[in-house]
Amino acid sequence: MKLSPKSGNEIIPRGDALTPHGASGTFRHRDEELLKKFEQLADQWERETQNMSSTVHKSMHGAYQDIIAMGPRVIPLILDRLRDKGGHWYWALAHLAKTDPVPPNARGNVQKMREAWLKWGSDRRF
Amino acid sequence: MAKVGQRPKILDETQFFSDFPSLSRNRKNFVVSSFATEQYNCIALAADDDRHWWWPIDRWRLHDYWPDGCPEVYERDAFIAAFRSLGYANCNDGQFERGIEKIAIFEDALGVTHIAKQPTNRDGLWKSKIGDNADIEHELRLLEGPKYGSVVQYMRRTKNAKRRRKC
Repeated sequence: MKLSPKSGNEIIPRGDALTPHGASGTFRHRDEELLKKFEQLADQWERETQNMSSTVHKSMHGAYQDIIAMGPRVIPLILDRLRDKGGHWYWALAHLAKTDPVPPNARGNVQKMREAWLKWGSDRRF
Repeated sequence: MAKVGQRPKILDETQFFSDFPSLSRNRKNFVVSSFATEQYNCIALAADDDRHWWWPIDRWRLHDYWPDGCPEVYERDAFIAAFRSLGYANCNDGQFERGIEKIAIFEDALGVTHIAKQPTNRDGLWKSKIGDNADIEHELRLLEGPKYGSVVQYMRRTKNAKRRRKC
């Protein structure tokens, strides 16, 4: 199942272009624009940081910061990407979702961190 | 871990050789020794751990592993403290010494970027995990450049050094 930015109404602010309250016809258009922009930035970030070990350098990268600046509506897109391709999305997710489902004993265990976030997303029907 | 019938390779060669211009495209000055994985990073490899991603800032909710009690600040001293807990002590150079393991800490303008390890059994070659990419064996200075900056500190440990993984 692909995660969709349409779900997760508790996170997407009312009046945002991606809420069900958006004008019919513009929803899909804006949804596609958001997805395209997100994927461009995520591809750039992944390409330019894949040879870095420093989580600080990865998190401070301009494309990563631009994704965070897109706001909570990208959470489903990040979760989708995390499920399909992995990646160090944990700081962005915690910042955007204002929560952190990763248990302390999962520190540094990338697989467990990923599972914790995907379960969090699944529980919220993203 | 290598899979039967498959040869380890690096991801995205264009980006890889752009990041490390001193490594030759025909592989004459380095060897790829593992498959790419995000399960561990260069700090973990240097600490003999292939199950965790090590980094010292949990207050940012980065959730990376760091040894108990070691300083969790993004400063060189935090890395030095963590490797002291593994039996390493500062030393002056990366010259190969039989029976001695060494690490080299790299920094750029922002701070620590990378740690390479010189195992005891590779006649002076160094081993590095390249971010989410593969492990490689290489001459140390070949990784200096735009991505990792340069070597700023060496550490060494003997075979019998105490390894507590705790500061």
